[in-house]
Amino acid sequence: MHKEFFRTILNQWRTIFHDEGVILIMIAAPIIYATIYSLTYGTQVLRDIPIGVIDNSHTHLSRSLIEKMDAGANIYVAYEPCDMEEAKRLFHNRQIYGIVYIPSNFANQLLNNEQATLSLYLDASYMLMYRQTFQELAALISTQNATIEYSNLLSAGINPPQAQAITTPVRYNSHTLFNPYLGYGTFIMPPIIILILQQTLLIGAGMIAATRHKHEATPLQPLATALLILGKATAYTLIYTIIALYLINIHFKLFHYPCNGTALDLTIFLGLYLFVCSLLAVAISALFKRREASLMTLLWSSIPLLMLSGASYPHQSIPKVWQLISLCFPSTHGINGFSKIQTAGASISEAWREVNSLVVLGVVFFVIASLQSIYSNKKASSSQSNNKLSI
Amino acid sequence: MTLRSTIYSLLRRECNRIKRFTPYGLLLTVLPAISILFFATIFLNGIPNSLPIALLDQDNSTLSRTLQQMIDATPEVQILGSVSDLTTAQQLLRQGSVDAIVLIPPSFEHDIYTLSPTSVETYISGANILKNGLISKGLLTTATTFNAAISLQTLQGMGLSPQQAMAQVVPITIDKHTLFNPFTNYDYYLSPLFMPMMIIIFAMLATIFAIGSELRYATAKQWLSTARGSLPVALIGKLAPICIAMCVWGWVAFFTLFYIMDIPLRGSAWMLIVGGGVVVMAYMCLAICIISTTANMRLALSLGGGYTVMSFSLCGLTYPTMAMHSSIQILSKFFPFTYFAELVVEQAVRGTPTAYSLHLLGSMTLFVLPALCLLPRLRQVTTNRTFFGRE
Repeated sequence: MHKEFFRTILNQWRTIFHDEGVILIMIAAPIIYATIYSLTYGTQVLRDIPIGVIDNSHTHLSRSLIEKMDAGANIYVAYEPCDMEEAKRLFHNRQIYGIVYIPSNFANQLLNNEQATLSLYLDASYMLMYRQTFQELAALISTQNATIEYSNLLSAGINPPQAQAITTPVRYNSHTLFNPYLGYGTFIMPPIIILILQQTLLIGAGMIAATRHKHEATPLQPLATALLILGKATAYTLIYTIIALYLINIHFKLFHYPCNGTALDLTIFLGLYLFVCSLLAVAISALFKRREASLMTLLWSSIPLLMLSGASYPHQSIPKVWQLISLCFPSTHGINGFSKIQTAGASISEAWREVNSLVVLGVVFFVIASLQSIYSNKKASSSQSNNKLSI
Repeated sequence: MTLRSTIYSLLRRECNRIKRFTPYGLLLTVLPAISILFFATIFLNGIPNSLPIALLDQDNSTLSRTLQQMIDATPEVQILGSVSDLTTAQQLLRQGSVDAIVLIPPSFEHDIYTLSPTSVETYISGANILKNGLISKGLLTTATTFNAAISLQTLQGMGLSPQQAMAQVVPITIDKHTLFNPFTNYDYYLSPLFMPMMIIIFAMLATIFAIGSELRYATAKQWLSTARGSLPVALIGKLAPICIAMCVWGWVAFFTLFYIMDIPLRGSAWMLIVGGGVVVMAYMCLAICIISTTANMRLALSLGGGYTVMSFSLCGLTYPTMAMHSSIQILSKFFPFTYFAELVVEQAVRGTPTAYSLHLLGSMTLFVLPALCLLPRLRQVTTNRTFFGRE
């Protein structure tokens, strides 16, 4: 029986490595994709967004404010249009992504200890641009406010430490964990890589199954069926473990993605994830009668699956029905568990929820694969006897 | 036989093939319907709110509880019970049960009343930059309000009128105009491009399969003879069903977006409809190029599918193109979807005057040309038996 198991593994490997179509999907694609996407998001942070400032104040105060805006890391003052019409034209030409309007009475009001107003017109059609621009300007203005208040208090005769305490009674210190510069690649690449592993595995295994469909003598005994399923799944898992090891040990370091998980926890978790993906692949592979069918029917699901996993749009915010559906895919648990272990440095016991879900899914997929195998055997044997009759 | 009857028999032949090859049929019918339904409902709950955070109050005073209440009232976050020590809080963070920790230090209230420096520390996970942005914004706003309230009280205690105190604490106010997407809503921002993205994946795969299967199953001669030897006529008869199906799904998507989901359509609907047709044709023409040069359906599907799926990351909607490495910026120009994304942003979201967007239609149209140049090659592979039956 052990022999049977190992023979299945070797058979699968032989098939995979003799099939350039499968090699392209199962081995080249994960690495090529991971590399191109990493290069796309390699710069990590959006800086130097051009904005326009309409300065109707033309004073020392407004000039110094513009200089400070220009000095910010996220934005720079690309143009100083003379009116709103010109600013709009620059905006529609994609030369600027935000407009700051300084009114003519700006400096006067400040000097008279009255509130002055700055108008910001920010483009929210690109979320990231909006966020970077607004954060920069809001921080700048709040610093400016504190400075003005502080110097006013000093000139009213209050001593510096007290003036400081009145201006900012409570200092607000915000620390960003796991992704200190809020890099886009660090945020989106780990989920994408985990998803790519599942998708290429399903497509590749579907391609193999369609090729072998006709000339595979399937066993009838329950134990032999179980061994065949487990053997196939093990064969895929071992190949994918090597790919995953490359991605985590070399690719992640190369592109500076977070590496906070311990080797043991990662290996156990990814091994489990890949095994469950492989079982799913075996369970659904009978659906594909032609080699091209798996790619044509599965490729599209990558983007919806990424959204379902909660990797970008929070899982708790998606509608309940979709939340339930998302639980049926290994990628959802794989992405969340991996992000806990590798990004947040959790131990495997702290990711128990994902481990549990993956084990349950694995059992379900194994049962489906077994039932399917028994069913197709029956069909095959009955059609064989039919053939005999017809001959 | 007239041209009309030739095209009619080609169409009938193609419709039979669509019925016979299940994946081909799925690409034109069920899969686009599921995709549109998916992206119409996934962001139904709008902006994520009530993200779970942990709060560690080491002061337990009236003021610290006031701050706690203010934080809990912040729409973006929700305090998930208070924790008694930092270790527990950190564990919750690693497990993913909370996304941030707020720490109020001991003698918080005392320090504020005695004008001594004190601070509030927040630790926000950067693993998901979308959640991080929401939590940071919410907590910063609350902290600023809290500070301003105390500052105002102190200044009024020093004998300033409420207006004077306000002008002292907030000398410059921001009059913010969030253009085009005032609620910074995910629906408004992502859905108008996710749906077309799915449609171009289907258009690409269906086109490659439609032509590639004639080679793979060695029926190209029959196809050309149905077209009475004319390759352009044969292509029209073959691709018309795909093109029509994709355009119809595109209209369904636009109707869903702008009528059912009520996403504001600020620009020209005609520009979007024409642009949608052009982008579908651009990807179909690229599909012709890929299948003509490879003359291998399986390889063409892998390459074409891989290329199309990358379109979304490179189009710059989520991570702006201007932030990408210059080589990737150039690469993104070779994807029609990049221009289509700009068109949708300008014509659906921003309401840019039509004249500013016309060049985008032009750029997309250019992707039709390579296919025309490759027609001789396509004739060669469809008439030469050596290209038939490749796996």
